[in-house]
Amino acid sequence: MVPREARRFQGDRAGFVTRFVAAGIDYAIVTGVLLLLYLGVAVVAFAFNPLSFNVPRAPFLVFLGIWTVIAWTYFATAWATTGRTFGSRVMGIRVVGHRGSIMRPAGAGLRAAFCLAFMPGLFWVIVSNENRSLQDTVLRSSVIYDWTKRAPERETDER
Amino acid sequence: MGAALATARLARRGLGVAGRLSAPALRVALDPPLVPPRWRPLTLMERWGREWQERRSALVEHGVQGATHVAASAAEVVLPLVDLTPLVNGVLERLDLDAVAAQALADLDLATVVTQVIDELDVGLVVNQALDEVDLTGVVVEQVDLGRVVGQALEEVDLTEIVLTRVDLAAVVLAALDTLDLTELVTDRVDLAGIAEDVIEQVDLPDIIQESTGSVASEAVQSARLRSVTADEKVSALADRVLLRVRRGRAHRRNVDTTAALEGDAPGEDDS
Repeated sequence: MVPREARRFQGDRAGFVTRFVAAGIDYAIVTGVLLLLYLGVAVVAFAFNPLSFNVPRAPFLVFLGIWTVIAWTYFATAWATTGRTFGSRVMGIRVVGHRGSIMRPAGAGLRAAFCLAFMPGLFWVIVSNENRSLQDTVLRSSVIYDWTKRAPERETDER
Repeated sequence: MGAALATARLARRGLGVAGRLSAPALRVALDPPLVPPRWRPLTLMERWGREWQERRSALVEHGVQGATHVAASAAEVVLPLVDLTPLVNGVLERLDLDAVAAQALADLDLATVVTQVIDELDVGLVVNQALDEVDLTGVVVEQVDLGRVVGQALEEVDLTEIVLTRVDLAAVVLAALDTLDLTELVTDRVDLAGIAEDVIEQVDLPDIIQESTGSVASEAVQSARLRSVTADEKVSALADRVLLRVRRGRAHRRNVDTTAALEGDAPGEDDS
């Protein structure tokens, strides 16, 4: 059950702090996955060539690129399925399309790319009169408080 | 009746006259003036009277003893000569014993008699003596249908009620427990391992742990969310002030379609 004190704002667009915390959790998760991937690669490299093993090295941009791929996959998948990443789930928020339903995969992928390409867009929530980030404003999506378990249905028609 | 009364009156009058006439002569005869006082008849009669009074009780006692002795001797002599049995039988044949007994019972106040007997008896002593001489157990076992007696008694008695009201069950149980080594009993008689296995099989431990930890985590998460929402509102208010903007209301933040969708749903379980 949603607690009584939380019912009044269910469905409202979420504010900056909540979204920022959720994003922080998600970026930490993506970074953790990258670290695990790196460790996996190192272990495999050590297993194949233990004598001449060196810690795998790569340019920062390579790490950044891989991190971005992981993050995009993670965000796009989450927003297109339940509308919530792990960070959103912890903070009780959900990404929905302009009709209030789960975004279509294309929209979710686009939003994920836009968010990663321009992270400061989140700060527009503070300025926006409707608690929308820059990406939300452009793509007409919303991030709402939603502590309920069931996700709204996916969008079926074109925007 | 009238004649009798007249005769009686006449006799009385006659006697009175005779008495008055004979009194002087009788006085002279009993107390003659010329005879020394110790030999006068009146003096002698008085002396004899005193002596009789002094010796009367001893004489009577002596007489009774003598009579008893004589009677005993006579009985000793007579009884062997007499066949008492037919005599008594004859008496008994002529007696209506039932009537006599009924009369006796009617005359007797049995309750008083019995009470008096009981008062005078040392009942405890009598009963103890009787119990010493009687093998009560044997008598009861042989003569009494014990099964029937016990069955009847149990039917009429609410044993549970009696035990509950009259017995200090706690004391009984404690006394029993004091004499028992429960640990040893359980170890010897109970298949603890089997029970433990059954319990573990029937209880879904992982599920319980997940539910309890999930509940704690859920409370912590809800608290964090509420604080975060409060912070959101403060940031919004601050931005409104900085941007010299009318405080944004909920309507601006409300996603109408989503709200409708959410309000249509029954509040579900939080999934975090």
